[in-house]
Amino acid sequence: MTDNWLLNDAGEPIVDAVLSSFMFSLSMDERGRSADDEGSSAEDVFLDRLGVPVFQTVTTMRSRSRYESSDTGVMGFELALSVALPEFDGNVITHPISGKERTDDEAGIGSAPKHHFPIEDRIDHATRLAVNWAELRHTPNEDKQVAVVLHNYPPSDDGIGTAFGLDSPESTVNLLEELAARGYDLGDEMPEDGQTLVEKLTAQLTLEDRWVAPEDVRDLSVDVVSPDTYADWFSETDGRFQENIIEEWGDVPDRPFAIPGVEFGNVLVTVQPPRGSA
Amino acid sequence: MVHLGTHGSLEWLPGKTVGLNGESAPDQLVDDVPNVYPYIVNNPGEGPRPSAVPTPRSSTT
Repeated sequence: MTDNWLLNDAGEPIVDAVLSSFMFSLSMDERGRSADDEGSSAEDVFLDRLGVPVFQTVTTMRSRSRYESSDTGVMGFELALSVALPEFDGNVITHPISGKERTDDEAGIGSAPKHHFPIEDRIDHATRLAVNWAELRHTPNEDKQVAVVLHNYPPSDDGIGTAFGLDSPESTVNLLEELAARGYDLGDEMPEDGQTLVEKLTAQLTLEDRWVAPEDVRDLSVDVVSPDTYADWFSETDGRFQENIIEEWGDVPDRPFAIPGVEFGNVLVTVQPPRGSA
Repeated sequence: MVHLGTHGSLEWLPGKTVGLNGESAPDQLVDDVPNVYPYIVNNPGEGPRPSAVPTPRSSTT
């Protein structure tokens, strides 16, 4: 199917992204039947030939109301078939887009059939995500803007970039070099190693700088978010999410807040926002 | 967006554990921005978890 419908004569994909609600793993059968122990055929899976992001949507077998009220969005065998196995293919797992509920027995056959009902806002979200990924394919690398977010909890400077098993400052520098090699705009002052990167980060505003004078914040931070901008962003989020936030944290603040980090051309290296501190 | 290394800023926020809906915080915070989350996978107990936020998972070892 990939070769007939999704690739052109030159073997290039004619789609930019795929949304699939197919359960199980699409590639496992192919790998199983034709793969040797270490043979190359194990790698030559049709999804690799397609070469575009594949997003997994879940047509859950629970009702929509049970989905919305449950702590686990996907559970039971659906977790295995609609999340774990597609992930084996390398799919980007999104979320349920529909629920299965009984309808009325309109045909009078003595049994009420079950029907899939779409969850509008989830379908909207999945499609917007797929479109954004698709647009990235057509954005020239020098125009792409990237934010690299490093872990920083608890928010002290010596904890910037904590990551299990990973030298994240060096990894970030490797990532920046790889991006530069592929034509991303990294500006003129790329850090040469992890240590330099950390020094640049801590020389700017970090999460530890509670006592920075307000007039200095603007100079030391990458940008400042005004209360109006924040209020706009907040108003565009899901209503239930807004209610939860307001209940927990109060109304939208009337003070601006600063973004820490360092910019290298179109690439921002920053730290995660602090959790739950005023 | 690249969240480099465990654990990202989108974990352990209010909302569902997987298959997020609109009320779940990570979903609202990252929304439709392409997000990539590379991390070391051989972290027993935490490595192979499904990610709540849609992301292609590069699991380096």
